[in-house]
Amino acid sequence: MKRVVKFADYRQADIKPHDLFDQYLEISSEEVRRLLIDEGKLASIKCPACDSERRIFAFKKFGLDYVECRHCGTLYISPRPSEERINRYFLESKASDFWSKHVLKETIKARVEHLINPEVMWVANTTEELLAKPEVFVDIKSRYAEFLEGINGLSLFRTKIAIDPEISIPETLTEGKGFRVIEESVQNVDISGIGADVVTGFYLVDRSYGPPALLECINSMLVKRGLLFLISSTISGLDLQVLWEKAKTIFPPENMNIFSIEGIEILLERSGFEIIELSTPGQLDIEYIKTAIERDETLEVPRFISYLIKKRDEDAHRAFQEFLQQFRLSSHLRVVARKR
Amino acid sequence: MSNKLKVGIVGFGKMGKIRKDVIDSHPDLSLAGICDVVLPESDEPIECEFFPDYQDLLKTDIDIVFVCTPNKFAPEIVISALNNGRHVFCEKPPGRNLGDIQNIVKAEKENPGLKLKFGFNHRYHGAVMEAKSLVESGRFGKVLWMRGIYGKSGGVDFEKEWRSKKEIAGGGILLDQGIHMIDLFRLFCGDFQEVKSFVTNSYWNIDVEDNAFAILRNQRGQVAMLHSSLTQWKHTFSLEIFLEKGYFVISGILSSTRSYGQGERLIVARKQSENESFALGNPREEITYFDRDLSWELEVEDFVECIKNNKKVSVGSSEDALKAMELVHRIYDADAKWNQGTK
Repeated sequence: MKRVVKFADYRQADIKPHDLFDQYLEISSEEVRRLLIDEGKLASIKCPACDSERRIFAFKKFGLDYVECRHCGTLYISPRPSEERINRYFLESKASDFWSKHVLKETIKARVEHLINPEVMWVANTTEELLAKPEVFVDIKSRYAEFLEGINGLSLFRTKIAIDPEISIPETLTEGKGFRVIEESVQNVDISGIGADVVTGFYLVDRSYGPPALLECINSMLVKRGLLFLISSTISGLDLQVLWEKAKTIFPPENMNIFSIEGIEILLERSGFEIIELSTPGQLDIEYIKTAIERDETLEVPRFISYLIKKRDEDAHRAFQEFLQQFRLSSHLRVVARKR
Repeated sequence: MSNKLKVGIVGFGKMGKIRKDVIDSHPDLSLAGICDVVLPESDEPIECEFFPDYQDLLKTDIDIVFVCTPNKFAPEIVISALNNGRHVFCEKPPGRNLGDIQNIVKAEKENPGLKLKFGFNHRYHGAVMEAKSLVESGRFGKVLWMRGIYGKSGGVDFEKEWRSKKEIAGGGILLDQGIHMIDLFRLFCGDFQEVKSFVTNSYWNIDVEDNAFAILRNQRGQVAMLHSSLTQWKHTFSLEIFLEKGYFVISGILSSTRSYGQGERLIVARKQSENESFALGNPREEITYFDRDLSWELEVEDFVECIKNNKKVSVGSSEDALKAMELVHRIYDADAKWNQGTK
């Protein structure tokens, strides 16, 4: 297994401008209550990572309960709304609409430069290193046409498929040798014959109603020793551990599940995968905490963290962020897993 | 009936034990015999036959021989094993001198159905494989130059070890350890035609070199610099590869002692563009840390695949061994003062 430490020159405001993001959260809070919370129709689940029933209540967010698994430390919502409701939320809610029309529109340039292009290179470099003749690429629940554009431009794969995209895929990406689009939930797709060499699922497991079933499905879709690329948040990260219920980046249904490092390892292992890379190359843990302190003077954080942020300079913060990355303690997680 | 390939190990020192662990965990291999001059001491019982003479091991029905002996004895055993119809895996270096590897190559040609591989395991380190893949992608342009440092400190009573004696080892630190770096230079840039060097014995009271400084250049103008050292008090493995559009640095080794730094790392960075004014000369680096060393398993896996599928050995082949040995001896020969002193 390996892990990656990297730096890019962007700040929180470049990808989540504070005021816009606060508006988005406010709308999300209303929409979750409107569309997802129906007391009679919430179902309790076991830990989506390790299947344990041992858990402890953590906090409530937007009316839904987050619980912490006592075995692996994964944070997850239970009881939770149905999968159908969650999927419909992402398609129809005012929050999703606000995200794409405002937040994304304002930040797309920064996201392409600092997030999406590096993700394309990550997939390209790793695929070239580990697979001799990759042919079939599948992306699940695409959120960025720019990512698919980047993959298209690589000339690495003969066949490219986008399953259940959350965006409208432009014609320029589907014509000729471009993407085949399957507008079905991945678990409803006839996966026999897909034979994927590479599957990408970014921010997929966070939002998934049932990650084990999802990963089992992806495993079946892959050829032997095919690769799965995942990006998600991890509750093992500094900013989430410190801010906990006050973390603005934890909210339903964007984060139905926030796996711990231990939890994602267990989940992938039991889903038939071997982990090749497990990295937390996050840039913003310190900054998220710093911003939270600046915006709420009453916020209580551990004294050492407060001291580090207030009394040490950018060099120290950068070195500390590098430490977090190196030892898998940042809250941004990326994984390369290989089907056994 | 088992379909496993039966393996014999000749030489059950440090490397023999490492190979045994890999063989024991490989689903297609079964350890059938061990040969050494003395019965090995072990906390765990070794469940196979023991032979004090390798010729007796070769009389059994083993399929493969792993040769893990000091350099002086390896060539005879390799040649004998090949002539007795066995596939052979031999530790590096491939003998004490060029004549040794040339004789091995001759025996290999006389036994064309057999596979012969040498233990240049550094090619299978995660950082090396990843760097090679990046070079081959072409996205960083052509390699301009390389700089390799590979050194250790020798340790207590080093002068008593076989590696410090020319008669048994054939050479010093360059032949013993620096040859790995030479093999990596070849991996990234192919063969080198020009050689300049200083070879010294500056500290240890031994009859072989304890430092070698070499500069190599090939016909494409690519230059490689090597420092191979037995007076590297802080154990170091570092290979810098600078290309037209960026650089890679492979550093550290996941050795059992963890003495070569905290672990194995690959640093990748792009050359800054001309209009980037921030932090000039200090490009943003991406660092990959490797948690496990799978090189021992991967090179044996490759060897077994070659046997099972009758594929040509392409990594650690006798040609690789011969070319590496040729370069080692050209480095020795390029320092006239060293040459005179050793004749």
